[in-house]
Amino acid sequence: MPNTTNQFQNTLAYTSLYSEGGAFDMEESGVPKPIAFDNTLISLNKNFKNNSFALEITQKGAYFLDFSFIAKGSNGSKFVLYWYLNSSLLQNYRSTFYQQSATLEYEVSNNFIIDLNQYDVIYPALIRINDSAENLSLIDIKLSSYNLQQLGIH
Amino acid sequence: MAKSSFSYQSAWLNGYSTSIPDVDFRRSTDPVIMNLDSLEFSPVYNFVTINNDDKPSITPTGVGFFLVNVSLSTKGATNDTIELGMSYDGSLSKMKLKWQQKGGNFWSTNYNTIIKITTTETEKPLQFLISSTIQSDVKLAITSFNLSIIKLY
Repeated sequence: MPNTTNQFQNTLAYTSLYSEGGAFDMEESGVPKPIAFDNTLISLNKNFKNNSFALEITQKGAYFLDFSFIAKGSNGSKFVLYWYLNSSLLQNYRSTFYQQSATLEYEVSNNFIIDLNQYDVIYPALIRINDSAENLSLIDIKLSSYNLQQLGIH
Repeated sequence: MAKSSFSYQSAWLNGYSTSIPDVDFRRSTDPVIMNLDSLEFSPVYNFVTINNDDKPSITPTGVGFFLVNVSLSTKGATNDTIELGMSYDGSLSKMKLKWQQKGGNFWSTNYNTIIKITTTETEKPLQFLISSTIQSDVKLAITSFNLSIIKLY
């Protein structure tokens, strides 16, 4: 049972995460694979918990999330970037991209606002729509988020 | 109420759709107003959203400066160079985003701008304009569209 007795609205919550990334091995599982790297760094954090790019919410509120990375490799493949909320796949915030050539790098990014509750866990995931002999690499992955219902920014 | 009482000025809105109609600007380089009828809104705080048949209206309840973010995925419009901009109450934002469809495959793009809103009349629509600098025979499909607006001040 979540403890809500000590919760109050309008409190600070922000975070900024970065990973230099690397090869992103995608098994043929048929479901989006969470984006996670051991080399994820926290440059700024208050009232978030995280496991790589999986964010656990400690204060209920409306959150703005901004996520981006450079996609490299996997020539000729189409990918969809999804978000999971508590292991459920969200359909509303996805982005689709195509890797035109393995020699080029493309930025992929999306952002949105979502209502989140204490103990919610939200994280990005990728699925490849068609097969490719080449692996995809994710480079310079960045995730920033903050609670819009916090004091001090308005 | 005391004149010095503090009032919240915050406002935010998230709108999303995966069924934006294709944009048909074939044979014309004129900007086309994007049809946002299918946008669903959640969460919404201190905005009024009215989804009319042909002109969805997105209006804050208070004036000020707003950060606008658009995250969209597109395909089609083979090899066209596309330009996206926005206007509010007829005033065009100077911020434009340009990209090339490179064979009409799937591309993920982001548009950001800060606009000043000086009226809260719901008849003043927020619009997104999209144009093509080359004339392709293929329509532009917008496979996902996500709009977030945050009041800054």
